[in-house]
Amino acid sequence: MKFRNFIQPRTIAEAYELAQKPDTVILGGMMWMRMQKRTVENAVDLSLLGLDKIEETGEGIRIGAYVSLRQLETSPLLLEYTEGAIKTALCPIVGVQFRNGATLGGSIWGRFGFSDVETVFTALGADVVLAGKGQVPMVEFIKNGAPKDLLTHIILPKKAPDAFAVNAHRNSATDFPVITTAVCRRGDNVRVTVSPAPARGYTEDFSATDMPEIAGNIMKNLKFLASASASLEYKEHLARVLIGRGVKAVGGQ
Amino acid sequence: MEIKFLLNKKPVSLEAEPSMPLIDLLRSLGMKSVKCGCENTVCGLCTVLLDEVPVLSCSVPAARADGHSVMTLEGLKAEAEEFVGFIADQGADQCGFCNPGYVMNTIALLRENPDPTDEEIREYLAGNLCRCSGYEGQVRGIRNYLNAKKEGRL
Repeated sequence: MKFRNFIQPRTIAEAYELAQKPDTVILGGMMWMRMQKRTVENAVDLSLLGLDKIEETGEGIRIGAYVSLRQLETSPLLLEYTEGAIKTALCPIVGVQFRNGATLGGSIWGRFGFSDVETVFTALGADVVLAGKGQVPMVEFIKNGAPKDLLTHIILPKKAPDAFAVNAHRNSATDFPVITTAVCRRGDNVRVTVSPAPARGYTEDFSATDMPEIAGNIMKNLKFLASASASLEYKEHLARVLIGRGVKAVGGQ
Repeated sequence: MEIKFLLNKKPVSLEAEPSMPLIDLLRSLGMKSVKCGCENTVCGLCTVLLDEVPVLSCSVPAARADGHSVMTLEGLKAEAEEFVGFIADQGADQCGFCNPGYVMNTIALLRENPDPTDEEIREYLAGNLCRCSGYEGQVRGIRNYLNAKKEGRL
């Protein structure tokens, strides 16, 4: 990707205003975006907005959109919150140098069906904070997107999960996952998120009393698309097995 | 646009195109250890330290380096020398094409974690692709280097 202007706003309001302009892109880590074959007028860089912090607030854990994936996986706060699952989930993504560049915001904004990051945060019950629309549940954002808006933060609920498990399958180490699943239990609620690339991520909430049936029930609603990485049948098989393992890990049988 | 930064601890100031990636800027300044090996942001060959943090210079807009410090292998010769010589004697390298990125990231690893386990070495270097070795030689080489240092053989 080429751009004619590289703009570094100093406030979120300024960045949001820039996002409304035509032919403008918001830059995350530029990991995949750089490979696009197009030229845009304006590239807006968020690196000077202080969005690179992970903070505990009265509301929960507030994470800036410019926080790198490496910051997420090494944050003592998030490691404790997820009992280490955040590291297990993010470490297989390419390599340390890649994860030092890739940002939380860039990973969420694209609503990629292959994103381990999206799967983790959706299952954890996160909200996204948009400069224009305000705070919305991540499930809603993944479904509808937010054209022309600006993602500034992700907020995790104050209450940590009682149990949380991430299971993914890659055809080879450091590759994109064929499928990523996450299961989060808080009290009686069990949330399952599945990213069956190239289809968008899917999330469903269940009661903990229904745990034995979760893997079977969610399969009825999941949509898969065959791709170069795996056949439809293989993806369905992987989903059933990985969700089953996740449910077992959070206390199901 | 004008970019001012520290390159291997020396101040640099120059004009660059707004969308120029850091790797192109560094190579234009003669830093030929920094190479683009994959065009897909995955191989690790273009690794540099940006404010001490290992990053892929192919995906960092050069403009983001403004006001920051960039270290390439050219500026880390003293720190790399002992390790690189030891690894070569171990026969860990084959064609050597991936070597600059591998050395840069090993330096970052050992600064962050001076006594890594084999698992931690593999995890940290997973983003440095090598098409010759199958990685066993490199992990063994780093392990032997660390053992030699511990035992006072270096």
